[in-house]
Amino acid sequence: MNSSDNKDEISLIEACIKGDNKAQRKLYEKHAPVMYAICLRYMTNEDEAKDALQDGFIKAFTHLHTFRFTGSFQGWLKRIFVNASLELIRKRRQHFDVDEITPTEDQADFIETGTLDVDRMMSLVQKLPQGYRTVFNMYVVDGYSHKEISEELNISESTSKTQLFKARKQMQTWLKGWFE
Amino acid sequence: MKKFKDISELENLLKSELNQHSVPAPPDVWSAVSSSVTGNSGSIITQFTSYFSSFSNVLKVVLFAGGITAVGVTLYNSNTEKPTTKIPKTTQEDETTAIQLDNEANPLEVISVPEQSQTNTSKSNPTNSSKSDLVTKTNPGNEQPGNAKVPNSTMGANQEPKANETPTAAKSTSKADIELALFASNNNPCKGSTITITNTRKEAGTWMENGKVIAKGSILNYVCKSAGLVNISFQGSERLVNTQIRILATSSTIIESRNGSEFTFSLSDKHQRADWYLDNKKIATNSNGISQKIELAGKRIIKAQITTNSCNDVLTKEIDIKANGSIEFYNIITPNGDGKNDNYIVNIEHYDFFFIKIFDRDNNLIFESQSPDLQWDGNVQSSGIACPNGEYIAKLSYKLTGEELKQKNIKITLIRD
Repeated sequence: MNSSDNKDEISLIEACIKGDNKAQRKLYEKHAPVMYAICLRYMTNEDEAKDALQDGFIKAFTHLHTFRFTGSFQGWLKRIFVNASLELIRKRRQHFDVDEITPTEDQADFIETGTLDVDRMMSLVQKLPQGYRTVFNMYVVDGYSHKEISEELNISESTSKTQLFKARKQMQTWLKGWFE
Repeated sequence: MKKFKDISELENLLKSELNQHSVPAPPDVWSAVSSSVTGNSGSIITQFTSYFSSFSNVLKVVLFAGGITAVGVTLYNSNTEKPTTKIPKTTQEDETTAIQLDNEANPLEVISVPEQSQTNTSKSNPTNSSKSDLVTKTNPGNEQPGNAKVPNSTMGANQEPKANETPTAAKSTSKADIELALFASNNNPCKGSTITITNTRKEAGTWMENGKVIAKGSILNYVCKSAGLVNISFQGSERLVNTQIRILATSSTIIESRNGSEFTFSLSDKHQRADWYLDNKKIATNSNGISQKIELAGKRIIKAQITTNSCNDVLTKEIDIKANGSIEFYNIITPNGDGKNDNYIVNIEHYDFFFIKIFDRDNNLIFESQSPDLQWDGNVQSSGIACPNGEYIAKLSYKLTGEELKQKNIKITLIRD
């Protein structure tokens, strides 16, 4: 992001904090697509992703004044949406049962041919069972450490590592033909 | 086709591609966010009032006060101005007469002050201000941008409209400007859950379910009784608006099949997950079904907790296992070839397990068998040598269907003519 973009964003955020509805809408439109993709990665279906998106934006707007303008605004937002998704998963499932679910054979979908485009990547991630997927998303895509994951999900670090291992294995099975 | 060297190469690709991936957001999210954010500006102020108890905090809030002025409210510290005039309730609050939501344990004092009258705002009980999470968030310099974790208590509050909301003071968003629309806390709730439906104008009116009046007020707490589509309409002061709620449910029946004491339970419909319990003890997690040996007689409860689309349901099935096994022993063997008692016979029916061992008086093993059809003929099993007349001991272990494992010692008399 260049400095004039940055300046624009800062003034946009400031306007939003002041309660400027137009500015809020602009900020929403600017960031909603990327944030929606995050929600889709974490939630099981579009309806849930929509709920997470909505929760995330409500949180973002009500806590916008806490943004300190020192880091990337998008990074700040992303954390909010990951948290909103986790919160929703927690609320709907009561707990993260990371240990019990194992992928069944019929879920396996070997991709041998064609291109591995971003839509396919999305559907691969979405196909991972909930427990693995949360950890895989957090660790691989969103850059959380195992320690952070264990704190967020209230699981042990070794569980987080196990889940990641299982998710990787699953990915490798699905993409068997893609490895040398 | 390019191939990956290892999983980390794949992961790097996933990270770079998915990190900035964007998907057009569903069109109706903005209106819900917008109405919720404007509707909630009051509650932000609410939370700040509890923060004013400490004078030093006021300084920290001054920065934010600029923003509040923009929405037409001016806040002053109680220490600087007298007398204190409390305006305890807002008119808006009274509109929510019909059904009130789960009020939080500590109703915060809500004081709204007209713009010009520079009266004083609040005096809030510091011990009461459990909402201090927000306070830390307002403290400049404390917030790490990369660590934007939003406190739980305020998250929930955003989604569910509170009865103690202040009217939206913003001039720019007076009631007349807001288009009347309905906003459900969840458009796809599970059967049995309760959702909250609000209207964007926060005005009181009449709520209808499929055309029938069910409540009056500005908020509807709707209990999702049965699965399917429900039309909720709201008659406001000017017009009628509708929304459709799809209530999800998981339904299935447990299908039972049986082969001896081996039971198989499966589900009539496909589910994402099923946890199985036998007499309230968890035995397996399998969305397809389970096989389970159930041996003891009596009434047993099989329970399946199923999950589909994040909705849960519990199915139960009672099975009644009857103990129908029987056993008969004899205490004589006459291996003389007359067709009567030539072998040592045990009549056993409906059994899961059978084991017989026969010893002589000196405790030497003569014969053993795990099948009632393989019977002792009066000879030593290993050598075929005929055993002499006398007493022998049969040690039996058996388990009749639906019963416990039993052991029995029987004295057998061998008589050759």
